[in-house]
Amino acid sequence: MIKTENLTKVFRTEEVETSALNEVNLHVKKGEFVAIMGPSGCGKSTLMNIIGLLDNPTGGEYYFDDAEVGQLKERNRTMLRKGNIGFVFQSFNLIDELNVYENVELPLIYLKLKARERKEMVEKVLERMKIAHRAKHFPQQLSGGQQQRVAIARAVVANPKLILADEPTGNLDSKNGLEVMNLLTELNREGTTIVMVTHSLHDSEFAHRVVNLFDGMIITEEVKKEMGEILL
Amino acid sequence: MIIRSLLKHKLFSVLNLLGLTIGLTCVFIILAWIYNETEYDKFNTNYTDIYQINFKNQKEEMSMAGTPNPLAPVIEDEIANVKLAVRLRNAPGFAFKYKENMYFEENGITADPQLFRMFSFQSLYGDPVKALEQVEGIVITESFAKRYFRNEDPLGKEIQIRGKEFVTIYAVIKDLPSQSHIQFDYVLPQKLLEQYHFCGLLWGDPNFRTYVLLTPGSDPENTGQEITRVAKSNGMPHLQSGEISAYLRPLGSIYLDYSVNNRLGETGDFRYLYIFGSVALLILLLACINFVNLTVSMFAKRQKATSVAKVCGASRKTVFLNSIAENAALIIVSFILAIIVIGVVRAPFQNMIGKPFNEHIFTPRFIGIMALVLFFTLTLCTIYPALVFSRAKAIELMNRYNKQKSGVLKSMVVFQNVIAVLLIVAAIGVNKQMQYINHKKLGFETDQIAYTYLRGNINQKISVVRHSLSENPNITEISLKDCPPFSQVNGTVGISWKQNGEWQNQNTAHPVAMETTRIDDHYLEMMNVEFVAGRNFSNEITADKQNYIVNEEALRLMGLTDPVGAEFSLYGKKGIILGVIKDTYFKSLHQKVNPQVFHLYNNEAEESYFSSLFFRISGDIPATIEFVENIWTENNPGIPFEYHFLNQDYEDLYKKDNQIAGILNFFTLLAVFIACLGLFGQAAISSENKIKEIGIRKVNGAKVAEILTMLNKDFIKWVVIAIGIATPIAWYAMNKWLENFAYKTTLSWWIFALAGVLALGIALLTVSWQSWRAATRNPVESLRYE
Repeated sequence: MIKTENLTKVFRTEEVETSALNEVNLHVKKGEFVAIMGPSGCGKSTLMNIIGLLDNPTGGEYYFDDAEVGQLKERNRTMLRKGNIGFVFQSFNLIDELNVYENVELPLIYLKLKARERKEMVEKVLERMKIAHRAKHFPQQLSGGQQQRVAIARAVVANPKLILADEPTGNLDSKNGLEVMNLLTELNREGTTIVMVTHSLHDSEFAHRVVNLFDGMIITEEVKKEMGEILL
Repeated sequence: MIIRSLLKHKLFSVLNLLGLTIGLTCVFIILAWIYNETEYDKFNTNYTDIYQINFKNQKEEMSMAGTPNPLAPVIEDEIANVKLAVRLRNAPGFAFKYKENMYFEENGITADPQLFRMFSFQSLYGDPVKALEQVEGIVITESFAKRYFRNEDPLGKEIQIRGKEFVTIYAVIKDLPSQSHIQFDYVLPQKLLEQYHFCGLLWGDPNFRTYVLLTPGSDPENTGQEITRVAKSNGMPHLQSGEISAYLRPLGSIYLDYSVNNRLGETGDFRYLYIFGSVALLILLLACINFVNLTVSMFAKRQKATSVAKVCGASRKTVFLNSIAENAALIIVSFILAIIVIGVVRAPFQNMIGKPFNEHIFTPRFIGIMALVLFFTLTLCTIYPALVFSRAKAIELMNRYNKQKSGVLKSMVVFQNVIAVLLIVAAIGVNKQMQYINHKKLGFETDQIAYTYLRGNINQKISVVRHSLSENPNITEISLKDCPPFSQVNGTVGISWKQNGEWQNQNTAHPVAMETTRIDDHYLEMMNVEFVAGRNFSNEITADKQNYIVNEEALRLMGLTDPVGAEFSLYGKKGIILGVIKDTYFKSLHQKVNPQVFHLYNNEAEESYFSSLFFRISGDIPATIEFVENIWTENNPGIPFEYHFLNQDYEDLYKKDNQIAGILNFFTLLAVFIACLGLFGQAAISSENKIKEIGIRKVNGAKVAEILTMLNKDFIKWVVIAIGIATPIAWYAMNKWLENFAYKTTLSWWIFALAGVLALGIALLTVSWQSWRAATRNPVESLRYE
């Protein structure tokens, strides 16, 4: 599903040139749950942004569903992202002015779905994430765990093929963190590919495979468990 | 600390500084102009005790400044508290000649000697009072003296007037202050005027302005009644019915009062003071709101510094005072910049309004006014932001700035836009009226027609001149009229017409009055005036000298169904109506077309009363003018030749209106610019505050266009609300302004629509740049870990 070949990303300012990714070759199969680990500044988030089509690589190739997408224009990246990729962030990134329902509804609006259809999908996902009773509440009125559940609900509401989770438990206590990891595992079992950046060894245990990055390069890969059934 | 803070938020500081500086500059310029207009005549030491005698017709609520010749000496004799009474009158235009220097001087008056006791015109050489006591004396101004005498001493020199008499220069005065409603280059003695009988001198001839100096503490109202009584008992005919009475107009109100007819010298109009005063107030409010709005919006950005200060123990008072000091510093810098800018833009502004300000606008009084404006600005701009900053609790500040204040901010932005829309509507409306005036079909032609006033003795030889002119093939038409091109003899009574066998309009208390004009038989044809009935005068029909042509308005007033051939009489001269012309706008469109009667002179001898000669030039204009000048000089030696073009003069009629429109456009543009600065700043702050939301939306699939829509939607909403509020106010204000014109454009819906579209368009353009920057930013940047 995801294949990068010699992917590089260089950030340039007037004075310095920083190489954030250095010839990264990563392959993620459909239905896989991959954790990316590494110390701060090793390029995890940069890699996630490129995989998530939020940013373009400086060099190398990036295939998403067998199509080269590394050099797409912003407009086309947005088109491809819509409905295909869901994001979960450490800091939840909910819009304060919108309530739970509206936050979750957001990707569906940009997919131009009809209101009735949207309602059905949002309600279904809220039920599933067990926050339907909080639909009218605003983010500030929720606990961290609840907020992250809303964020996950928003990430999956459009049934994306891929979920990118950037330290999804980083701001949560262990109980809420576990809950989030269970949710992600459940989604993965249902067939959603998941790529997760984490610092937590505990969380990485949930993944099929752990990729270790250091200074922009993949240094090790370890298979944690076999995929029950790899959907190719 | 204050400077560092201002430097840190550069965009905000620059926007605030720019907006306030432009605003204050506009306000000071307008106030300087208003101040200048209200300072007229105050240089007179007797300022509070000088009055002009006016007559009031209670029924028509119309004032006249014309008074008869015998009034001044009589009231000075008979009314105890009239210390001095002075008659003055515009002198007829004369050619003055000293050695080889000869000029036509139009700007002179004739006056009683006491003029120089009453008014504080400064004498340079000689005694102006004594000068006017001589029949052959003259008082001239410094620049008049320079024109004729260069470096010679003018005192005692003789100067020739109208190619005949000599007058002696007995006194030279300083040029008159620009803020005097009486303006002249020379004064001839009243005695000279009486000797040569330049005008009617009887009680029935209101040909003079009369000014009185009352003893201090006199009651002007009682004195007015006294004057009425004395003038009536001396037989002033206008007062006999009791409908008209005299009253005293204080010197201070003469210049600005547009309601008095026949004023002398420069005129102002206090309505414009109100209009521009309101514009100044609106611009000041606009600039202040801008400032407050930007400052409070920046709160979110600056909360960290405030909260740290509060956590470290800063009291509410300290935060309050710090905020005041920081904003006051910016305001004072703007104030100083504005004063510098005024120095630079004063000259172009004076050009725009077409007259100079008082040489010293920075008088103590005006500095006082400026200080008041500064105080008002400081109060308006610093208190509210300081309250917002100091009231917030440290713990709230540490969290994200919540949006509870945004209601106030939004209403301020709406208010700003209301002002902008109001000014845009006013500018479009005023320009539309100017377009209407400048392009209205007048009903007569002005192109290629030149004219000259028949000064000197040339009107005695008018048939010779006319014949000589007609020999030039470039002069295609010639005609004559008994008054200047844009005037008629007003309010002539003694008119009657026959209807159903009866003479009408005779022996009634309120007879119908018409404007009467003596013309020659070519005039109406030359002006290409359209006839709706009957025919023009013909020089081949002798009887036409007895006959009349009227306009449609006169016909409406008379109510004749079959006017052509109807009997008509003017001052007992009976004839018939030959034709009816379409209503023609010979005068300014400020005035209605009055009923008009045109007639010819009875014989060639009387034709010497014609005062204007019109000639149409086709072909080489300079050569033709030179040809006319030669004929003029041949027949009128000693009188300089001057000519004007009719279309040029017609444009000059609306010079003031066009100037006002120009000034309004200029200030509207600046006001809209200030409002734009506000919107620009708001957009910058708003997109800054929404940067996270934009990122989230983009990650979730929003396109740039969708983000733009989201960001601009709010601003559009505010502008639309503003348009809704401003439209009825603008409609009312424009209607009020148009009441000044007898002929006016219509206030079509599209003016308001256009103003709305303009306001929206400008707002969109302003905010879109910021929105575009925010929307195209990589969302990754804003979604980093917090």
